[in-house]
Amino acid sequence: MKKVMMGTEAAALAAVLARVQVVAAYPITPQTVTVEELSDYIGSGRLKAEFLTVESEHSAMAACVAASATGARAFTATSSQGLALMHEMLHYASSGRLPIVMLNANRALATPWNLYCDHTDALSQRDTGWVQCYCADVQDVMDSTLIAYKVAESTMVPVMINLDGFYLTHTSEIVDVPDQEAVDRFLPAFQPECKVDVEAPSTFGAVCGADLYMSLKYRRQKDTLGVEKVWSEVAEDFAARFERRHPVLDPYRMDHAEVALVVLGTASGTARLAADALRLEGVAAGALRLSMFRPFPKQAIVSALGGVRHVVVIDRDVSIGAEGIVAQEIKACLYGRHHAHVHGFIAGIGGVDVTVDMLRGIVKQALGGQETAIALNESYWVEVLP
Amino acid sequence: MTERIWKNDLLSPGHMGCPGCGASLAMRYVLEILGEKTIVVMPAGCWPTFVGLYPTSCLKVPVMSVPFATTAAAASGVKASMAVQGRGDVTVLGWAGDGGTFDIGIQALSGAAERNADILYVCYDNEAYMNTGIQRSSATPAGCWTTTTPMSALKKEPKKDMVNILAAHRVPYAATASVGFPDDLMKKVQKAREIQGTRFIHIFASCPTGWRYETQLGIEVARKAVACRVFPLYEVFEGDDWQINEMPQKTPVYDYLDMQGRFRGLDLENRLQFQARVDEEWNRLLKRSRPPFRPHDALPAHWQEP
Amino acid sequence: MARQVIQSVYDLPVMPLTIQDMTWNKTGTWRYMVPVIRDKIPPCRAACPLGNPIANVIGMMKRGDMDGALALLLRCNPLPGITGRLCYHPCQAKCLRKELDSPVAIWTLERYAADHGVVPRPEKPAATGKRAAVLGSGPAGLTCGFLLALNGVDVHILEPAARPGGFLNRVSTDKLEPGVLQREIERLVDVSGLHIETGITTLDPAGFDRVMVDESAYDPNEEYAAVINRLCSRLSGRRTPAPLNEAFSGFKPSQVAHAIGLGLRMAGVVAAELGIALREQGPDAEGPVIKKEDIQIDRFQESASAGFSEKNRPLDKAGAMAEAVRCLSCGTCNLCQRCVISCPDACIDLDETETRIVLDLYHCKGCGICAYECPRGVLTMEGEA
Repeated sequence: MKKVMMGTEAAALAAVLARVQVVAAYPITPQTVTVEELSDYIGSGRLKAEFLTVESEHSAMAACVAASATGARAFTATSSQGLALMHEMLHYASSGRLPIVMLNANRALATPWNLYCDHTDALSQRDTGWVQCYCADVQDVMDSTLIAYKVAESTMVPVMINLDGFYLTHTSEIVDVPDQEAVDRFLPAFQPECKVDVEAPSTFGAVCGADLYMSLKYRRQKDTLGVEKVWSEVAEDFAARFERRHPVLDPYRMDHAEVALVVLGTASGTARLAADALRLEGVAAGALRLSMFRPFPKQAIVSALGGVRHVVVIDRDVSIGAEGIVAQEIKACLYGRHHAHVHGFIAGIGGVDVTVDMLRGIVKQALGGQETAIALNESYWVEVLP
Repeated sequence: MTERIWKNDLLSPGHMGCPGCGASLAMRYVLEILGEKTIVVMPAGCWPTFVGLYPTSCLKVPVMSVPFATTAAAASGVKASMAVQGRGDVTVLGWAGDGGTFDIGIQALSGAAERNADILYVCYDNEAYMNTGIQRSSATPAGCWTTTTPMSALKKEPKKDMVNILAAHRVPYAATASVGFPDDLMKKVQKAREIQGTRFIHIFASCPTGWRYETQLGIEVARKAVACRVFPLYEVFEGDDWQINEMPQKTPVYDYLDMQGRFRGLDLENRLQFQARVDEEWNRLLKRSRPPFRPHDALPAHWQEP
Repeated sequence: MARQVIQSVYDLPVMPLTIQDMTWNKTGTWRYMVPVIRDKIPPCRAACPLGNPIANVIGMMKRGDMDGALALLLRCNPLPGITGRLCYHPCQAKCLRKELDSPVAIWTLERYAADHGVVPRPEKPAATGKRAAVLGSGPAGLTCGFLLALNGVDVHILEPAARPGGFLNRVSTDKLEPGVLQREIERLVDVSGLHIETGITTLDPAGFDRVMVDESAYDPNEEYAAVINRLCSRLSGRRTPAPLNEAFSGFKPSQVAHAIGLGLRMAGVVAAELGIALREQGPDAEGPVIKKEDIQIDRFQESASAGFSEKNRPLDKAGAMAEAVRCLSCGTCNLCQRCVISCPDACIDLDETETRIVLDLYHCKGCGICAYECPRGVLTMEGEA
């Protein structure tokens, strides 16, 4: 059934369709609609779940960790400051092998206060071991959340679904809402092979010596790297049932492209328009959206790039003291595997709009044209005061 | 034949707790009453460091080790999980030290108490951050030596009144208990077990390592603390009905202080102040309590069996 | 108990959950002192001329086991109904309960057990093929014969008077009511299987491996004493009479326990001469004798004695149990399990038979709390080699 809804509403409805059992969340702009909707779904009985109105995001993730470890399907949502506050718990959830799914609204981190789109919040959590997906549109939010539970529960790795703050959280689009029975067939009830349980008493998270800690981490790395393949398989299954595709990479006009615009999130739509415009101007441009950022799909990226000679990375984030995080990861990914030159651009941070003209200018600069962005330490900053 | 005194022996030997650990005793008493259908949620502190060496553990009930600040939030999450899975028969026990309750864990505890989360939260209080090396917490009494309140800078601030804070949240049941009075402690756990909502028990758990007394005096020190009114035993129902359980004769605190090396730094003036503070707190407790009666009379009417 | 060796990360669950307990960890290596469980002699037992295991007897009475209490008493005293009425009870003078309120009425409790307990006849011991005779059936003679008979000797007590009991028949009835002596003697005959022959005027020493004489049975002025002496004088050669009362000369009823004690000692001497090993007479206990400082007197609540200032006041079972409960069981483990409930490491517990306390020395860290908490000095900490 088709309905008009915002990204945050789609996430809430996806959680309902996924029959989550425990929601523990704390309000923060621009995620609030999700928790408001969920409290009503649960209060009205539409979703049979427990809603914990916890007193901080750190507690929200703690409650989800505990609920998931004891066998309940858990969900939460947050953004920027809240995500940062959860940092310790993010490590705990992934090392605990807990299949929690979380919505994160990408928003700039203080100080000063800024509520608008910025990817630094999630990207600076890239080492916490969570799968990270970045959604392009509202349908993507709905579908990715459902795929995420299936992937998480079969690999025991938590998943973070990222939505651009305001661009996706608060933009309404038409969404094809799957029906409950179809979702139930796609996503059965949560039946973990082990859990914290009075029927089989065990201690979760005891002190561990060097011998086993490192080996556990090795296993975790193996299993998390394997998520790329599992996601692809589950997405194939989803496509067979619901006729919508959600691969880990989303290429556009990459055939015979010489320049690739690499983006995360909603800037992808803009990047496609920019690629079209550039092609008309004679530049063989394509756009490559990374739907999955963690695990980083290295081989898939190398293949998708083909004969591209210039990779232009748009970072809506920065690792202060280094460079754009996506650019860094792309460079590492291409090292020894691909010859393209990587141009890192920092653009669209803290709510600065990324436009088609801006992207055309960026590509032209990368190809040797007039400098429109300020150079700093191998990356270029767009629309900043000098 | 003699009746075995332990009915639920849920702790097995070989754990790495210090010899004479009061917190370990506290756990035995609590689990004796709660039994095997209990999920223990424990944050960083002494207990999770000695409960096991992965992949082995000394407890025969399931245990969830959680980060320091999160006990009550995690316990709420476990309870929600049990509720939604139809396992109302499982007791959720939050088990935190004084650091994890009075300091870093107080936000989560306040949040859970405000929501009246259906958890039994027990604080085993050894009056400092013992696991990390005896650093002061807000549960450390004034005048006490710790590694962050050394002899040159003994702690000035008095012990935080945690039961009072919980009472202000109007939780259905809050109480103090001591490893020196196991029968009283176990009766309180039994009472708490039969109540819904957030229940808080503050257990005085003596620590030979941090308090500097000979290990065999572990229970004696706890008895002395109650006898000298340093740690009164009382219960608070619904946040405003205070009942004292043990009415010791007035005994000078010096008997208690002199047992422990951590109070050796107190000069005469500070010892007198310690006594004065104990007297003042005791009088405050007396004033807000019902006339004291023999411990553990019938529960208030709405908890009695129909 | 050994720790499982992990060969592959896939031997472990995917979540960081434990798979085994910690009993593999030998925390017993941490200690430098070890708890020792050893019953010691309570002052009542030390004061008793018979070495009666009073704390153990009263321990049974606490639980309402009057029959068991009597059976234990009978192992070193065949006449508890007599001592429970006549003895000057030095045990009570030493009872440490007096440090709290008043001593336990041990004497009255002994009488209660004797009057109300029922003892089944013990299994017949293997016959040793030895025969012994005791001339005179005073308390010493009866006791000596009783102990030997219990250990398989065919004992004949030869009494010149018409009734057995010696000087006990002369005790005034307000101290020893009629019928009690007869009941006590019938019971000791029933339990031990010895034979009593009264009205003896002659003695044929042939057929007896040993003949003993109870010279304390009667006051020397009595005619029966003369009879015994006359019969003694007929004995010669290897049947030299073994007198029972080397140092004893009193005939005071209040010293009856001393007479019984002499009988026990003589039985021991004769058994050794006959090559018979006597069965244990009472539960084991080692010195030293428990003193006031060994008891944690402040752990006990004050209570009034059940008003036994007048002897011969009738007592019921509830009253006897209530009085027995007042016994502090000095130095004698009564399975109160204070030690069990005070161990932070679950290293001390009742054994599977639930009759004694055992230690887990593989894990015991030697903290000493159990020894400190034992209110009666049974558990002590000792240095380990």
